[in-house]
Amino acid sequence: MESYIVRIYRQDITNPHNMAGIVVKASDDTETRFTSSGELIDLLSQLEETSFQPHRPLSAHMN
Amino acid sequence: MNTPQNKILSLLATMENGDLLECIRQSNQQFSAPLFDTTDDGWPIRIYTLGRFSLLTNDKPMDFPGRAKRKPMDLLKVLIALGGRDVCQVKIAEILWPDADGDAAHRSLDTTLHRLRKLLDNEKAIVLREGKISLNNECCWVDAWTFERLQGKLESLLDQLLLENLDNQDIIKLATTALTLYKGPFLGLSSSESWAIAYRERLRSKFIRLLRKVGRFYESSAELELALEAYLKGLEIDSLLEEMYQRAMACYIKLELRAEAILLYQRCVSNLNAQLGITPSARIEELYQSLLDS
Repeated sequence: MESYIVRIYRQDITNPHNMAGIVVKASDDTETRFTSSGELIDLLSQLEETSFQPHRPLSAHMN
Repeated sequence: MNTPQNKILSLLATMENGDLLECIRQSNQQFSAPLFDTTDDGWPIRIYTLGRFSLLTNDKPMDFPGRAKRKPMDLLKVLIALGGRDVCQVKIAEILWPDADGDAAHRSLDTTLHRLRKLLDNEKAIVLREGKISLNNECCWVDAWTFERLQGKLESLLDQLLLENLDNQDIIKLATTALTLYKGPFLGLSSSESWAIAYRERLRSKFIRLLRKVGRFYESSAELELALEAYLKGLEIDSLLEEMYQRAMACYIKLELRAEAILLYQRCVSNLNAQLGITPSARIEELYQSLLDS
């Protein structure tokens, strides 16, 4: 099972959907960036299709 | 074990003709009230997990060649990663023997637990009670546990410091110890097991939070070089932490190191653009503008 870490570095207070962060693939540290909550959801959905086991939650992390 | 209590008892045992004053003088000298006991000296089992994995039993480092020790060591790592106390044995068995059925996994765990106790040369090191496994903190010292305790203590002290005037030198000593303890990610960079990620991230997050607080404390104590060191250490851990850039730039400016501040700004712009596709925050831009205007 592959694991991913979500790091959110910036979030707009007035519009929380505006955010900047990266999703890190734990096995090889490859990073994919996102700039909005929509992009993050799309990214996670793509990852889920390829390798997620739905009952295992992501390790979410807010810096 | 070389605890303060044992040191007092051994002093008393060697005392001749009731030389109590000398004994008290010595004990005061030796135990002059550290705010927090962080030393790994004297522990029968010492486990280092930050930035690496290594183990000392009775002061002797343990090597890990061959398969015989692999599973017991994996058990020890998993136990620490899951908190080290009252960890459900079923959960550990599921992680270590994912393909085995319940009974087989249970038997394997029993055997591995026995081998681990033997390797640690201490029957009491691992406690199994009512289906839950714990690492005995009376004979095992774990760097990550000490770091977490120290980090919690320091954070509460730094919060109090705003209200009460505590001794800055004590805080600096504690902060230096805590920052030195964290030598890198839990179990080092080579380990990417999914069961280690949550604890690794928690420790990383605590370390970054501590660097922020300690940096702020150093700034307020006019220890700008130390503050700068804390912020730059934060950027070594994660090159996308804008607050670290901002505070480090502010320190450089106060230290009249204009060129260094500009270089750091350029590093910030480059990293944020390359990795997140964003520009620096308004605060960082203001700082940079103030540098250009000065």
